Amino acid sequence: MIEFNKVSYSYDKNRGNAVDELSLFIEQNEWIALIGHNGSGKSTVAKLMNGLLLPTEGNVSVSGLPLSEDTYWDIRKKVGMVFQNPENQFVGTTVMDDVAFGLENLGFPREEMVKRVASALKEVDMYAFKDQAPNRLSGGQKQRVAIAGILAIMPEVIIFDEASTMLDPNGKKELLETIKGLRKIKKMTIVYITHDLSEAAYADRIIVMNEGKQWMSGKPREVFQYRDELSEIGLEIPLISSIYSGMNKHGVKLEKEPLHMKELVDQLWKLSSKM
Amino acid sequence: MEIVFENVDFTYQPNSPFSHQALKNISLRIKHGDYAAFIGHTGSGKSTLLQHLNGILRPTSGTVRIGDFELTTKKNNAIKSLRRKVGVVFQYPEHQLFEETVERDILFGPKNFGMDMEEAKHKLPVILEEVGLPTDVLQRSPFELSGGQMRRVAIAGVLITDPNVLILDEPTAGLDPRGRKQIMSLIDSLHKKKRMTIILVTHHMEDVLRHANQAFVLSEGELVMQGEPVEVFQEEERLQDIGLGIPEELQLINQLQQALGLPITYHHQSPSELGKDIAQALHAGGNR
Repeated sequence: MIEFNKVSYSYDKNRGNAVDELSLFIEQNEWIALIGHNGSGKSTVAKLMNGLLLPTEGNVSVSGLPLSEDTYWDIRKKVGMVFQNPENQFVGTTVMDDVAFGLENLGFPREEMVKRVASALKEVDMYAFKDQAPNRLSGGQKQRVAIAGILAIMPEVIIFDEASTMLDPNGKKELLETIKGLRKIKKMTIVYITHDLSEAAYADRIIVMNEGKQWMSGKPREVFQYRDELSEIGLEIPLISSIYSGMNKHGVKLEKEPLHMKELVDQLWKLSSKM
Repeated sequence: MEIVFENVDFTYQPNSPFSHQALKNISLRIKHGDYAAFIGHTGSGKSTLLQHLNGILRPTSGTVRIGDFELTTKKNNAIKSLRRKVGVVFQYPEHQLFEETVERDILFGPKNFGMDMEEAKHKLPVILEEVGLPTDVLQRSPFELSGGQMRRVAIAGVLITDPNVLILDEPTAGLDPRGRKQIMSLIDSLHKKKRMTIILVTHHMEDVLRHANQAFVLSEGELVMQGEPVEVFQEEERLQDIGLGIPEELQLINQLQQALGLPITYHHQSPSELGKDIAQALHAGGNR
């Protein structure tokens, strides 16, 4: 779906590369978590994925289409992006207008627009709010509306660029549940950028960035094994993984490394009933 | 400086169709040297309450006392001196940096308060050390710095006026785990070494548990719970009712007590120590 071949990008020649000879491949319908500390290059990677930036060196392609000055407009239709601050993304006076904005820009006929807006809002469970003013919504609801705005354009990939950062814990949960729900009803590739590894745990695969390079790639369980190494590059494994590693050192071995509290408690329950 | 709220009400746009009561009969006391945390939803009244602490807002009725200073419904001209004593680091403070150099940004407060500028400049190296920034950042533009560094600059700009109380509204929002840890331990050291009263507003319940000694829970303008964080978090259901959670480690401990009957308690142990406690409790249970 998305391919990077030795991609470099530099904002300023004197400062070295923000993304440095990066090669990676994201499959269709994969949910990728792209993680790394602030300044590791992950947001630059996101901007290279939807043509907001063009590589200084190397090639990017999205579903077979190579990114260039001639194609970035087409690529942006394929790759939608949800940003950090939901406030900055609103232009309409009602939720419905707002979701329609992108379609209007692309010159869709009205009938088609109405249909798409309604179905996108239903997909993120915000249809009931269609006539409300976006500024009266909670942070999590605002991000859901922002997602609907992107769904309406029907992209193949949605990038969430630290989209949970400004949300409270309930809002974060709401966002992750919305993505989980979407993946059940339709095929789409998700790139979820975060520095919170407990959120990254929801993904099929984690790509860890450091100093503009891919530092590691693997399933969440595999990546979380590298607790000390991750901490050296400024990341922290989820609390449950830390607790489990303490248990593990003191002789408790579970069948699979728990990613969430429920996985830990369920397995402990099984284990203790055998003791 | 002790902070006392006595029956404080605050209503936005009173006597108008848009009137909205944001604080309802708040009474509380924060002792000198406390590390107090305020938790509550967006819209629970947290920001309104904070804005009373340095006189941005005055109560509609009731009294706020901050040291010798009394804030009532009446205007008080000594408000500037209060603002020097109660420093506020707002949310995303880096959005408020605007000067050309870090030095000028940090010195903006002293200039604004009419402090002796030579003296303030003299203090710069000490303040920088306190917030963990090298002195060579002074001549750089604040916008060249990382998110965590910009936040330190904002904190330095507040510390240089020598406040007794430091209020921080979501100081770690948007920082990566390392940046977050560093800012939290910076606040800890200001609390311990400088004996400052710390008032923290946060969504991170883990930070409340690990760092604060008093927690205040606001909901719909009312102060609904207060006490030591461990005590407050014991009431998981009540917090859930108002849409708040408890720290993950306490959730786990509760579940293990209920589902497995493991006798584990929270005593400020680290996650891996908690893992060890669980392992030991499991082994002890198995040998019964």
